[in-house]
Amino acid sequence: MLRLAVLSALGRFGTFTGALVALFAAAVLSMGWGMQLESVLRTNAPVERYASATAVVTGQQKAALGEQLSLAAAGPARTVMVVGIARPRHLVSQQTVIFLTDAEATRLAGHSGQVDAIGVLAVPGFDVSRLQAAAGGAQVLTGGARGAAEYPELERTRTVLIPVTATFGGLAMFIAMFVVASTLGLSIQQREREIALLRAVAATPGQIRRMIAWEAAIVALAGSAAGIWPGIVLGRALAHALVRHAIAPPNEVLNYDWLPAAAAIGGGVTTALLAVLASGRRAARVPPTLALTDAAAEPRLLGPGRIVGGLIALADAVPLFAVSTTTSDPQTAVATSEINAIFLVVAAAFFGPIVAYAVARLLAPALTALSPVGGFLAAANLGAATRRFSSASTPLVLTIALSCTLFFGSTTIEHATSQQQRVALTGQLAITSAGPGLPAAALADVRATPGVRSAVALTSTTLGPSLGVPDDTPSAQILTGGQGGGLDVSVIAGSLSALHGDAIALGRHRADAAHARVDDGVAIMLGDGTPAQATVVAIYSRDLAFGDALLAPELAAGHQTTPLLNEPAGAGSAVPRTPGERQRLARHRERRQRRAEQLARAVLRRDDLHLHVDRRSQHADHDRAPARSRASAPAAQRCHHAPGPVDGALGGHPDHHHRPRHRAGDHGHRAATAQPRAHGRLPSIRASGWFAAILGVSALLALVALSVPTRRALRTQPVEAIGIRE
Amino acid sequence: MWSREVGPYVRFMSNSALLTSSASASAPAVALCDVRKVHGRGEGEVVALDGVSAELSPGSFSAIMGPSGSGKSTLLNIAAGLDRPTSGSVALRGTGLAQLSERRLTILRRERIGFVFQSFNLLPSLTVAQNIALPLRLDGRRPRRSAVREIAARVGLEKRLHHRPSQLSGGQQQRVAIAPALITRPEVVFADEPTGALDTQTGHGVLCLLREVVDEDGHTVVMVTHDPVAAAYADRVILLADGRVAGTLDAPSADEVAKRLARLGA
Repeated sequence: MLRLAVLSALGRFGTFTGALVALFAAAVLSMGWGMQLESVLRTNAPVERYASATAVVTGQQKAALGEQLSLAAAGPARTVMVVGIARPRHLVSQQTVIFLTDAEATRLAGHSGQVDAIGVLAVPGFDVSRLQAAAGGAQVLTGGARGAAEYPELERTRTVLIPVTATFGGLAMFIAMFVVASTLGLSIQQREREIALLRAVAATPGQIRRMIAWEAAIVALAGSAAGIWPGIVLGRALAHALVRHAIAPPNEVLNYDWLPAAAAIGGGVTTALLAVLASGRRAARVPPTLALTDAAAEPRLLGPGRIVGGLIALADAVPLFAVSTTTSDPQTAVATSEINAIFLVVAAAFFGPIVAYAVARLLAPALTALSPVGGFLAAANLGAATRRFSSASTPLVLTIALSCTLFFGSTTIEHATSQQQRVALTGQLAITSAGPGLPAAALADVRATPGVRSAVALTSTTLGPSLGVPDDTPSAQILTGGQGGGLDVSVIAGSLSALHGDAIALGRHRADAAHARVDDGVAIMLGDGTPAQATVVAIYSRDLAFGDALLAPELAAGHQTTPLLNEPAGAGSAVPRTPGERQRLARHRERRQRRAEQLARAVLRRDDLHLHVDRRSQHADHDRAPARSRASAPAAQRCHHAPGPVDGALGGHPDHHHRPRHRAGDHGHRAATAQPRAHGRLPSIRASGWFAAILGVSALLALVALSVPTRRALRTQPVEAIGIRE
Repeated sequence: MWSREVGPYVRFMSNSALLTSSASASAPAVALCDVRKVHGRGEGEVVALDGVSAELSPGSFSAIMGPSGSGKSTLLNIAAGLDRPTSGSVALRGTGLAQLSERRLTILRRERIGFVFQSFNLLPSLTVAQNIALPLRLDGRRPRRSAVREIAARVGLEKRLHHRPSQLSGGQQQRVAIAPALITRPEVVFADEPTGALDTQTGHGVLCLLREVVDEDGHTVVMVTHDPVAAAYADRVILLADGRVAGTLDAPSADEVAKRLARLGA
């Protein structure tokens, strides 16, 4: 049977092109993402600083990337005198190490009285379990695991990459399954006579099923194997992109084996075999007499299997639809609508023949009017061969539905987020850094600048699992000077003016989830894993823009992951309130930008800082936000205003694109950006363009997919077509 | 003219076949007992066979004839175990087909029955040799190269073993189509309009091949045809009309068959 399947598959490779391409693409994606996954799972962070220590005891799960940057953390950069150069006994390649006095190190770290890790030197034969007992709640790391104390961000990368890999690989396999089921189903319908002949010549139903399965396996093997090398190329590109978008740590090295390749090929074969389960059963049921008579009419529109499957899928989709339309939590809405789309597509696939029949009936008059011969015949064909039509249309339905849901789901969130941000940031100017952040002293500098009425500073951080989230890390912001102008988080209960001491303000959805009200005490876990008690002073509704919680600076002091202000210092100066004023401001954009430049210069009056002023129009500014988030969607969802590099023009060189990139050992904030912000009509989400693009690409793919077999069919001489039946 | 030329040959062959069949005392090669077959249900119900009984002796060559829609193809399908009757029984050398599972029935077809189809019905993705050996392969047996070559030589295609069906002419394809039916050395060969798509010359070759199968190998051949000339190669003609047996003709001539058919309104 294998031999027959091989011959059959080779003899009609054209029929399997669709399945082949789908499995190839699925293998490329699975391979590319699988490489990332295996890398993060296998990689132990390099042990460099603690290379001489036998064990490392770490009391905190999160430490900052490159603490050497904190030289300029707590205040203006200091000039330090180099008193010695160390040559490490072990290779230190991923980071720069600076040796400081204990007092200076403690001051710069900003964690008074706390250390991140203790290096332990032990005598030979030391029992690590004794250390474990002495360490209390702290982790004891030995051997290769010691690197985790140096690069705690690897752990974060793992938690991001595992679901992303699963999603990409799973979706790719899911789509491939549909395409394989459709194309192989189609090929089986096309050669029902041949299968009938095999049955008549004496192939048992089991042999027919095995033949179909082998065919699928051969196509899957070929397609998946062809996808391995492009998958490796994709994997390398992905690794670069993940590092560039700060999803993976900069020291991330691709470390993979045969495992992703085996998973991609195995997944492809399994997918293909699952996909042809139904087709194989149908093929085995082809009556042998079909070989002796002329082609019978297509079977009834919907078999019992299709009806049951379609109803199950619809039954799953309905409650999901109810949830996604009624929930007030946008993340839940996005997640449920994606699963909902999948169920609806599955239902559409099961009910495909009915859909195809309806479409054929609907389009028939238009097609006939448009083209009396071609259109008439096409409409008649579509109406009669609904199963075949639906086999071809299902992958297209799937493509359009899934890409629309995935894409517009995230753009809708982006849109809502940026809308909230625009409304919420009432400050006229925003100062951001292209590096890891601004020094805390910058806020004081801004406030001291003449013409500035008030300013607030935001620092992104995350909380440990708490506040009704058992295994996730809620995003949060440390808000300094919250009662000042420049920020409108839309408080619905309490007041931000009380955001001092152990105070916390919660987003509406987080407060609901934690059952917390104003003046309640809540248990939280700070970013470094320290548990704390906080009092809720306010509940706000713009949690898309500001995250789940706003922390008082005193509450977070010493517990955040970096002491830098890494979020826009919204400097509210002469906040425009009337429409006339806004118009006037818009007309004098040039002047304002000059002012922004002056302000930024005033703030950052240090020689070691390069100044970047965004000279672009507000619209360009608005448009950029979703684009940037799109590129790094998985990480950006957690942290809406991640301080990414700004594609801005350097002052005086408007066309010189410069991407200041943080390099270890640099003073952190190589560049700061002052962005003029203003209220205005919100630019609408450019969904229609993308929608057209998705439809256009799908239509193009369909045309290409159709024109190849059509050309092949037309190459057959009519005489041959009559002589040989296939 | 062509029929007159081959007439004596046919008669001679059929005589010898009759001798062979009378010499055999075992169970009939194919026995049909009160077979009814109804296609469709309700208003679309069509009675294809309405109580057909027949016994075909081993080593005989029978032709089933009748006007279009008389049920001859249905009868062949049922006799060959490709289709199941609505009621009545079918037995092959005493083995009842009704109680066999689909798998058992398939294996019986594989081992004891050969088919020659109306349209050449070869697998286009397989070569001539692979098509000929297909029944053996499906049976899990490794076809001997010499056996394939021998069969191919009998149908005159030993030089075309590695061609695909699309590279052969219609007559060649039909001759190839007979070969797989012979390789398993089946007890009964069923042929559905084996000459339907062939010119008289090629048709003659094919019919001679079938005659040889009976005379030299001692197999039983059952053939459906609407051509009186083709029917004249058989030992016996069973005439069908409206799903019933309308008569039989032993050692028929083409003229006789044509006359009887004309009376049936073919």
